[in-house]
Amino acid sequence: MSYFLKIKSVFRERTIFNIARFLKICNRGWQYAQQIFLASAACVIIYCISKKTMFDFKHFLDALNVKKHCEEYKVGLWGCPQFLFVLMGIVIIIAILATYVVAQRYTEPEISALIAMGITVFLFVIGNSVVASFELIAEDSKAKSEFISIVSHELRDPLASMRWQLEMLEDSRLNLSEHDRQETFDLLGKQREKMSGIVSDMLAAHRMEDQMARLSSECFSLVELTDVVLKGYQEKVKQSESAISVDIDGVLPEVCADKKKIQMVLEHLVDNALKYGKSGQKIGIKIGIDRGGVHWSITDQGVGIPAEDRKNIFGKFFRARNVTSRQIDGIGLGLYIVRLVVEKSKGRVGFESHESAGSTFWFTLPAYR
Amino acid sequence: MDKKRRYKILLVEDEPGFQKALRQVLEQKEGYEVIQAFDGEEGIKLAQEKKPDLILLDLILPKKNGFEVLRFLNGRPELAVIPVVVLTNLESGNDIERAISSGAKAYLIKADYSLDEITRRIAKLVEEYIVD
Repeated sequence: MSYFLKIKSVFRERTIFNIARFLKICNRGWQYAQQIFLASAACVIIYCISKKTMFDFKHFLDALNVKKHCEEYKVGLWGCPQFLFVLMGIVIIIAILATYVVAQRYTEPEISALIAMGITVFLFVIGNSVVASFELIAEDSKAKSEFISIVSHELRDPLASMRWQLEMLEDSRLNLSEHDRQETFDLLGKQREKMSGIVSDMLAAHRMEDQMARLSSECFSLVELTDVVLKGYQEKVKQSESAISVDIDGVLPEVCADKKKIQMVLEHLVDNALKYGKSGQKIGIKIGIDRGGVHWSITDQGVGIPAEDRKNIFGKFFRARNVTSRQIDGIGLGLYIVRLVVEKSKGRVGFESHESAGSTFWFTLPAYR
Repeated sequence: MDKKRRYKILLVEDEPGFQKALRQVLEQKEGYEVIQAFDGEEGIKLAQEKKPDLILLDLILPKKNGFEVLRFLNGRPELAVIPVVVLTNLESGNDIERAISSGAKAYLIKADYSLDEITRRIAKLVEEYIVD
């Protein structure tokens, strides 16, 4: 026990000695800091004069408008690198001042050690936030470049195909039958529709992202709207040799939302079920009541979603790993639009999935009373 | 072009517009016999059955993609001798390197060529790679 106390006493002495030395250094450091501060200020003034920002006061103020820069990045204040760096700078300046004041007034090294520890923890937390915000922005940038690659491919392919077909039609040396010509015109029409669908999705996502954008509201039956949507998919259902059944649970109340946008939601969900399902699959749509809202769900017998991709499935430009071989058309905006529309309509959206067995996507909208 | 025999070209392409346009020009202008496959599995099957002189292969295909088809062909000595020309719109360096290292003789990006230009390019490749 006495041996332990001896060690403790030596440790304390050494700690106190080290902290005292640290404070002495801080005191000397403060003098250096003053000189460095003056030198830095001189550098900033020379820089401003060389860049003419001193004279361009508006530009100078603009550079200081951290909030505006954060809004440009579309991240919150606590996820914005500029704000966090400014905060970190302020904390460092306060830390230097605090250490100086403490070193001047108090002799107890524990107080200085405590302050230094507190500041270190705070800086560590901010440092972590800075790293997280950079990761977020990097992820966003990666998603955007992936999106550009997918969109350029999805648009480039039909465009190149249309160009070849038009050149074929124009080539007088080719002997094309009337059937070939008609088939080519049909193909050209389908490709035009596909491209216009891609552009519409991009515009819809962009509009829905606008926080100020308001959805119109009208009361309608989700059952009737489902019927309208399914009629538009009759040809595709036939082509994929699938069968769609609709199960309605009793008499359902109407929902009040933007009818056109909800139709877009239904179209995306039906389209996905057909696209990612096996040929000859059975697709089941169920409409019922759930916790006071109207619950709509669609179950396919498709490829399912890999477990590691599930958390991102409603994200922007996201396409699951098992479809990114790009054998299935799409730019990864469908489910993102579905989530935005349903959430803006005060509803909830979700899914359950089993890889290689299929998925169920659902949403609930508040019922009209 | 003086052809000793009618060359057999296997076109593995899932996009009907490309299929139709290429088949018309290759058959009517160059006089080749064009066999069509709409997915990777069908492409492999027809390559084994018909033994084409040259394969035009897209990379984004249903069932088996172009890289899988290339690997399959390269793994069989009787099929590895058939020259394969990749015809795609994927243009990343990684895809090009992967295709060439998997045995493709040439890598053509569809969007870079007009129908006339691609026909001439294919005809040149046929002359270069097909030895009677």
